[in-house]
Amino acid sequence: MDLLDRVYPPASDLLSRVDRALLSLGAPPGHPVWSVLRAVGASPADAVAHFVALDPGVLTEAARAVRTSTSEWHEIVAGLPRSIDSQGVAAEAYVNAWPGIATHLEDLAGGLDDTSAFLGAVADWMARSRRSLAGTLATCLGSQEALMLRAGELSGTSHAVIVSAADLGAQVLAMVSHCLDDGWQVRDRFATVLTEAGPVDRGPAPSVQSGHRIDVR
Amino acid sequence: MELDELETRLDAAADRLARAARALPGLDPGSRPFGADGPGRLGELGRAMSTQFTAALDARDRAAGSAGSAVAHLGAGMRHAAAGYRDVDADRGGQSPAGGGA
Repeated sequence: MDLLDRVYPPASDLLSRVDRALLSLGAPPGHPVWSVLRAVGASPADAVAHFVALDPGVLTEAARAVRTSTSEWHEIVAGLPRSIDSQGVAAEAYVNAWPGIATHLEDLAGGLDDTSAFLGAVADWMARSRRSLAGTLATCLGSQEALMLRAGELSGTSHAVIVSAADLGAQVLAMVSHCLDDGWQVRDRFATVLTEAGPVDRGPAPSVQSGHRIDVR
Repeated sequence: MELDELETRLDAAADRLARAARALPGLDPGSRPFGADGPGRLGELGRAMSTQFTAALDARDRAAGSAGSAVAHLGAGMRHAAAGYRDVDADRGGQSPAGGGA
């Protein structure tokens, strides 16, 4: 249980009041809440509920599973000899192909490490966002605007209620918008996880000299 | 190491590669933990993150398939060579073990 889990229950009623006021009473023209509403595309209550539902632990566990799987690829590489004692065309074919296959498998393991790091970064972003949002909600809960909303009659048209709801909504959605920008940056920073490994370099074909012969003893 | 042993190890590696590749899709937790079902731009971000992760796993899957076929191809080559040596040995009365020089 993190800070958001603790702050959300008392904040959810306030967020519902903010949403109801915005929906039924609107907000003053030119109020900052309009621009953040457009940027987020969700009401304050829905946006916060979204973060409440996100569980960074699921992605942390998935990141661990991906990271664990990379050891399998390293072991496969380690299980194949770099060279063999035999000589001849078959041995040469193996020695020629080995570096390309080993490099490909190491690249594959590296790609999985990056993929795991991406999951970890998304989980960190979720935890960070939840902390930030919890701080914002805690501030909102103790604000003058919250008092006004709790005391005010939402069905009325009190200007103070309208402005209070708009102010609180703007404050929450501004933080949500900041978290969104942060999330897109995380996603863009890890765009490299999409890098495709090229085809396996199987090395040059073994050379068969014109004078090649098989010695049968 | 003789060709027979190498052939066995390559076959085992190819099997292991195939198993590891089959396990890759199972590492995807799905789109919901990314918040893909969220409202507005939050859902958009969740879907973009989930899509990026799935595409990354797909890229690794293709790379694994490519590595698996390269190892299997190499194993087949070794098997072919070892069989050739065994045939020669059989013709000569089994005097030389597989894995001799060629």
